[in-house]
Amino acid sequence: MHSESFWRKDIFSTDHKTIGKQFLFFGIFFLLFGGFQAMLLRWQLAYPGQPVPWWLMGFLYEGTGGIIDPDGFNRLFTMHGTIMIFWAITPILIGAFGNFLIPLQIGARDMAFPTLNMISFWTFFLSGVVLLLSHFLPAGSASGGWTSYPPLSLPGGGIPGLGQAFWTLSVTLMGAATMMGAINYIITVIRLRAPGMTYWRMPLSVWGLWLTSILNAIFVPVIAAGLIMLLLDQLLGTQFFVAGRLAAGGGGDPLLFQHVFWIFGHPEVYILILPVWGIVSDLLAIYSRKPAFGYKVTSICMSTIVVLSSIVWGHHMYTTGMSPLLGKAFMFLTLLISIPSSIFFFNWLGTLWRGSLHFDPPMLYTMSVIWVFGLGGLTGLYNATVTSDIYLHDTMFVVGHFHYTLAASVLFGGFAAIAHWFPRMFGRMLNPLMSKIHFWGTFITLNLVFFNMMVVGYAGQHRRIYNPSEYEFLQPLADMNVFITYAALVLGLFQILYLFNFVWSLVKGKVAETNPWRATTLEWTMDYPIPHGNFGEIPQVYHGPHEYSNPNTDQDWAPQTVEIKSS
Amino acid sequence: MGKIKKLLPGGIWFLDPPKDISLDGYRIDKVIQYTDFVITLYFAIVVIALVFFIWRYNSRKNPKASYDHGNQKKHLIMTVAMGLLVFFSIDVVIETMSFKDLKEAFWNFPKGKDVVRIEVMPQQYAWNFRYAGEDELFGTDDDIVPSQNIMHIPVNTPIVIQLTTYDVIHSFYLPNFRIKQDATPGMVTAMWFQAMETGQYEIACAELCGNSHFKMKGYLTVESEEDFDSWLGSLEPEGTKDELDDWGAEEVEGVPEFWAWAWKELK
Amino acid sequence: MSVATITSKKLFIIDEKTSSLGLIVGFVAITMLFITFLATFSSMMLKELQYIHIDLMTKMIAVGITSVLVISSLLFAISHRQWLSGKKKESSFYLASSMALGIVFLFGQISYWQLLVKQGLSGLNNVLVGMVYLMAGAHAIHLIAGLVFLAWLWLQLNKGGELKEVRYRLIGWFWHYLSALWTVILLYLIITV
Repeated sequence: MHSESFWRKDIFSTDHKTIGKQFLFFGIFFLLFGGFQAMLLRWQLAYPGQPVPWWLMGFLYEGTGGIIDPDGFNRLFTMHGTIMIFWAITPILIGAFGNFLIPLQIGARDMAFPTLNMISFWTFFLSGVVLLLSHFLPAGSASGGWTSYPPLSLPGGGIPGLGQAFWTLSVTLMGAATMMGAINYIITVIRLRAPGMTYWRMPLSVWGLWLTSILNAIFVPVIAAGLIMLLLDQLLGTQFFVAGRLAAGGGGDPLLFQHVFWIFGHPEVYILILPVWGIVSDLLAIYSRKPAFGYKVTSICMSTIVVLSSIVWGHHMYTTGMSPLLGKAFMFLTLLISIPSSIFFFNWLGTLWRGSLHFDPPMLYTMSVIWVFGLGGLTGLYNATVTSDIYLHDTMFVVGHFHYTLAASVLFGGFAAIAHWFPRMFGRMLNPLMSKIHFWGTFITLNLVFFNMMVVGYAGQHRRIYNPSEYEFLQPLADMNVFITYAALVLGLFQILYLFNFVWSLVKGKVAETNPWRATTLEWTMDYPIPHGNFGEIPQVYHGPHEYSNPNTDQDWAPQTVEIKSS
Repeated sequence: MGKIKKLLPGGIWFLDPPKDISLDGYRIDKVIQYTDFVITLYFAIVVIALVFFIWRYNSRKNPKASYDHGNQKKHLIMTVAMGLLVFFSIDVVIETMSFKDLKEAFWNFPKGKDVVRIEVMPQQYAWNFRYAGEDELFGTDDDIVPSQNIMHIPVNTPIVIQLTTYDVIHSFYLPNFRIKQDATPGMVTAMWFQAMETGQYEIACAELCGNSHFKMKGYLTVESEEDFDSWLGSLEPEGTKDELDDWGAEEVEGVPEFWAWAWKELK
Repeated sequence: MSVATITSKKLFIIDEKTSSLGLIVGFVAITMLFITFLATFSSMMLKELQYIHIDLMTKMIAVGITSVLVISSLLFAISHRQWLSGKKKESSFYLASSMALGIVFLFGQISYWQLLVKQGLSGLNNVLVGMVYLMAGAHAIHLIAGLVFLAWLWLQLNKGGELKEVRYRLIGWFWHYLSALWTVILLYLIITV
């Protein structure tokens, strides 16, 4: 391989593996940032108006006497949501693993458009910088919630300064970066599969990432249109989303933004979770030493959900006064999703059934996805039903529910993926003992936090309130709120352990063998470090990705590049 | 379901929701309780399966996995049956319950003489209420506008409210009635409810509306018909007040009504 | 089964089909952007938030300006034909005229906007007009990108170096797509307004 300068090799690299790692580090940085904000939020909810202690960096709030003020609280949850969704989950799952896995698993030398891939990362980086800069604006960052509903997010809504405009701009930039990535992933899968790698032989991780990209390519432009209109409203004074008294002469329609936002927003939920579904389906097979149960059915179910996800956005808007007919239609369509979901969920259990389960750290993380996604998926039923949603909408119940589906499932999926592919990315193993301690600590505390969020939500606590003790009906929940906060703080402590484990293993971890997990897919066929261009010779693929325990092979796994001769 | 309720306060959610004092709130509680029951059942099945698999099929006990792609016809039938079972035992049931409740209660607005109509207009960060007065028409001199955040309703009488907002989106949330309704600029939305018990209750704003969203709180007094009438009678009609109120002064041509609008006909 | 066969010789070379497909996915995305704009416009229209009235004469001017873009697109097609049959000089000429008409269209859009503003149709207080300007602006930004590609192509033609046919073809696709896109939007606007 020809040698490249540091800048070409590590910074403006077009190598998908390097870009994947860049996305990973970028995402982990924002994950910590957003996680820290969550701790501050929890502090305020448990001890409203009490000074932030030094160990939570109370000095950040020196200007307000160590106290988080209501504006600061609104900024915190706005930024926490925005960062976690767009700058933590998206880069880790889609950016890092999309980039790293797709070419390696389908047997390609790189992405279809390597330069576009590099531009995509740096646009993403720029969007992150814009978002971070908005924290230093004199009037502070955005505080209109991650949904940024107008007219609150417009100048007439009472949020001072340019924070909202910076928010809109950075999310738009992020959308552009995602778009470039999506085009790349879609085309790479269509065009660059190795000989013999048919669609039905792709690992389910690639299926998940590919479907995600398709959703991205179709729906990111929708939110882009909405955000451009929002930005014009914010900066030029157009009135697309203004109505009522704030509009000078007619105005537009605030509800329209909600429609546009959720037409994108609901698919976005699946955009975030689909890669995890794919990765979980693959890892369960690897660590059970058994083919994935109902491979085709699983991928068909995921595709069905992709289609359904685009026509159910109305369930986010039951309380806006939508017409009864629409409400019923959206409820019916939303509930339809439970059929494909439960089918592939059943397939996951089918994979474990009569397998030979190896409880390595990636498997622990993976199996916990079954738990948290099971809970998250089932609690979605309350929000899909119009009547129970009338009560639970905009309460902490919804917050707990989507933290189960998004935060918990996606994080555990991400932890599983990092633990599993760490040897491929960095040539070393993630320390298993520390991983296991981190797993149990995270699993227990995370459930205590998110389940109890649903509990207080069911007991009536609405979301995004600075001080629950304002209300008499929320006073019985004070103890529970304190409890959640301590659980969350412990959860945060375990993430520090994780970070330590990550860095320590990066430098001093056990050097990995080429294929430590005895996996069959193509990315394990070459020695570390994987060269630019990945494969010496593009491999020929003979069978699907899950040939484990095939009676016709000597060992319990057969790489996709090895032909199985039936005896 | 009643038995499950008794095992734990608040069912599977440990903590009780605010006391339900409404005519139809029980319907929502019932849907939630049924959902509680079925999701507990299905989640228990998943957990039992997981625990069993971990115990029975771990690599020490079962060193050789069976080679099975799960792609035979029986597997397909089994998985699809599972999906349909979930759909019919959960979704179809709660959907039927929910549709019935919507048709009979939440979307079935009461008509007739004994209905109390109230216009609600939230602003950052307070609630304004308007009663029609004797002529039962809004926007007339005998409209009654109590002080901000104060709402009184008679017990056992259907209340219909219509909402729009002065500035940003708010959401009228009555925890003790299990309902909420957004108030969006430029449109009038509606909901109805009926109290079964007298007392003092709270109104909250459920939609983020700015930095004091958390203390946008109203006080709802449910009282007997006579008390309500005497309370209403004790307030001065709006038309007798001297100056125009804050909003009226700002009215510009072309701006849709956002206060004292003519009562919208409900479909 | 059609799988791109890659030999180690063409390690990172993007083949024709790959770039064509990439462009098509790009078209899908841009189309979604404009579909959202059109849907938003229609929703505002149906809710009768605002009215716009544009008289027939003014509408016809818009048709005239748009036909410039359509002609530009045709000229590009001719230029491509000429280049394929080896007539470099003619090809360069037609390409230049296509580019020139593209610029004429852009200026036409700007003056049309000024005309509408003069008729009292401001995007700041009328959301429907605002949507029209927004769509025209979003289209113009894509058009400027297209003009950059055209200029690049023209320079390559005149440098006389080797030029891959696929580049010519794909830039053409983009240019035709842009004129088709604006024609559809305009027709929609004329019918509904």
